[in-house]
Amino acid sequence: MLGSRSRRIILPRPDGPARRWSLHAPVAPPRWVRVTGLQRETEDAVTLSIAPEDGRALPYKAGQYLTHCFEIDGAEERRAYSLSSAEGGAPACTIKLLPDGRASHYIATQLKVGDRYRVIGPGGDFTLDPAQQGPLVLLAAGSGITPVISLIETALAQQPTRAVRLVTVNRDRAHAIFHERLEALTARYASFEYAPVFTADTGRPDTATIAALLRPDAQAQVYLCGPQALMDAAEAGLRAAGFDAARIHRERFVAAPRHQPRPTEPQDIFFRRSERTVTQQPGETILEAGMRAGLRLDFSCTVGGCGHCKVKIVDGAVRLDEPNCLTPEERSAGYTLACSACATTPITVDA
Amino acid sequence: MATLDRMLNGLPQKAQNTIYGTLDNLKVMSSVGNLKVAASMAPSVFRGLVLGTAREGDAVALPGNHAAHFSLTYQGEFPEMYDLYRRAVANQWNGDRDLDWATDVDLENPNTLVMPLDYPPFEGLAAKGIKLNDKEKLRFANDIASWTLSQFMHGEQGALYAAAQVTESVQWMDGKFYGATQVMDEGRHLEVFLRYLDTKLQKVYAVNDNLFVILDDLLTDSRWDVKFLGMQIMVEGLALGAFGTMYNFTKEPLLKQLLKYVIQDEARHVHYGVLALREHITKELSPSEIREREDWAYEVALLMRNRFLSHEIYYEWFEGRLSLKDWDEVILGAPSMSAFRHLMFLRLIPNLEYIGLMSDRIKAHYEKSGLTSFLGGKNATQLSADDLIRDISAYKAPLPAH
Repeated sequence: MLGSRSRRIILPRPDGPARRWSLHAPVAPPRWVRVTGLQRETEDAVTLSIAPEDGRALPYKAGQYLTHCFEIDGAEERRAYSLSSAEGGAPACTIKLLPDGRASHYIATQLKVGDRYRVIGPGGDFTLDPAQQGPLVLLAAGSGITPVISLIETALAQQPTRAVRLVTVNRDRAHAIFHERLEALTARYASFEYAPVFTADTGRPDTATIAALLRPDAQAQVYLCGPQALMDAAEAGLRAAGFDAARIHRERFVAAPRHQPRPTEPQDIFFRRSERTVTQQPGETILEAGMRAGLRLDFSCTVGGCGHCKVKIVDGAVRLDEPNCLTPEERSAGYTLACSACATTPITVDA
Repeated sequence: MATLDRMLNGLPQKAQNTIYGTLDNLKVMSSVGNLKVAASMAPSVFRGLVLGTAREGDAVALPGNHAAHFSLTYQGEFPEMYDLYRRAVANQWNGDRDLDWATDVDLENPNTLVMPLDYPPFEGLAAKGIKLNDKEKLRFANDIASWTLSQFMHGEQGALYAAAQVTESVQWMDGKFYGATQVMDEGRHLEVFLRYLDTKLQKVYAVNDNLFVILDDLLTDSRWDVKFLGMQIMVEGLALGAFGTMYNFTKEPLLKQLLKYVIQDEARHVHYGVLALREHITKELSPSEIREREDWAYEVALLMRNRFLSHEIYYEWFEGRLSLKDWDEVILGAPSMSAFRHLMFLRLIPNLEYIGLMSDRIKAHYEKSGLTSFLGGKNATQLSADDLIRDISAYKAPLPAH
């Protein structure tokens, strides 16, 4: 009979998705963006608004950052800047301009609306926990307000009656980024409390003072973002007051690294877990060499600030850009950051 | 048709479907009555529609009957093709790196539906007595998306082999350079459609019989220019129509970006096809050979217009509840089909005209089929990839009246 073969409609997939798709690291590609706005917030802070060139959304969570890849004098300079816009809004990052910063100088003097460059990310886990809907208590010092304002505006937009207390630490009012925006929030949300501390008036707050200012409810989630010493003091004060340390979230806060000279000779890197040897080409980092070879390596900010690409060097020598987020304990245990280090001899990596 | 209706009336639905399907298959190849064309397509039609060769087994062998053109002197140039080659090399994208495969494709999120609910022919189905609840509608729309993307994938597999054959057969060295990039393009398209289906939709449909007929026909035809015409003009035109329709409909960002990349490549492929064929048809072919190509193109155009009717979906969802004939009527009247036909012929007709396959004689046939409104449009040499995307985005398919 004509057409008598049984009709196959759906193709069998007995083993589910093919293994080939998971052999390589899923890497979110850098996205081209255009500058849509540059707004001065204080004399040394500017908000950079961007839009993806391809017209697709750039979804991010409040508290995350983007790594911005600027082309400065023919070389790529990467900087991780936190998003200061609320979740769902057009992405904007607020940047503290440093007097001697290469990227700061570029942003302040050359970057203009309409310019294009690439961003990586978003990344970072300094984010709201949807399972926790209790009070929020936040401490932000200097440009640490950048991810914090995104957290606050997002939390209040989602739940306008949520109790949110913010303590900021700045030299004076003129240096307090988003001071007016935060005051406007207090007018709009009765449950939002804003407590600015100006060190020019009161001096630096000590551990006990910070803990007293924060005074979190036992059910609160605490977010700290600022210089390391201030966050350490705040955490110590809270612990001393019996607060549950598991409820404290800290954002790492690292200045831009100075690039070390890269080796001019290729070096072999043996990735022990994947049992692959990859030759690091001159100019490459350990991460770049591994990614080029299609290895699965964790990373996020790519500028030594987040610690996602931390790997243990089993054998051999590396050169690491400084400063970075590695702790002294991690260094002495043999860890390095794959995104910011390169092999200067043949090495074996536990990755 | 009234006779057919009378004949089918009262028979069990399975028998109705068999008779309707067989008579329908016999209509293939007979629109212009060119016996040579019918004879050249007959083996593929027989394998695809009658034997159902692609309906079982792991693979099917399609014997290639073409000759590789091995150049001994490397003489002769085709600068426009070389220019296309350079552009193709410069614009290669990476299906792994340049698409965000970490995207969570949620088949139930109304804001990111792969196939929004506006477009499946729910009203046409309701008019035939098939009413689906909200959950079924969502599942049906997702199945239509999987079916459509599965056919894209099967088409890309055919395109990969056809591009390789065409690269062997083409006589210009610049065409061989270019052809190699197209082989890479088609391989990448196959990769990304397969990956999307395999990891995101997780449901893959078998190749449609009628699509298989076209692929079988052009892969087994020994004449390089027919392969070229079939692949670079007809199937690429079909692809632009189908990809463009999906690109316009879908709200799922990963698929939208994937389709955008693929469409940009297709723009080059068609451009290459028209360059090669215009040169060949206008300078090398006899009037009778031109007539034969015209008729073949017309048959394939009708096949593409009238016969991609998602029968696999019918058999999965409605066999026993609706006749195949009623299903065909519903699908032919669906807004998504009208968008697909518009975008396909918008590009196809001007290209056929440009390469010299639109004589007054064949125009009369296109006129009967209502396709001459596209004459005089921009052909592939006048369109950039951005123009294509803009035209596709500008076309809004008519929504069903509510």
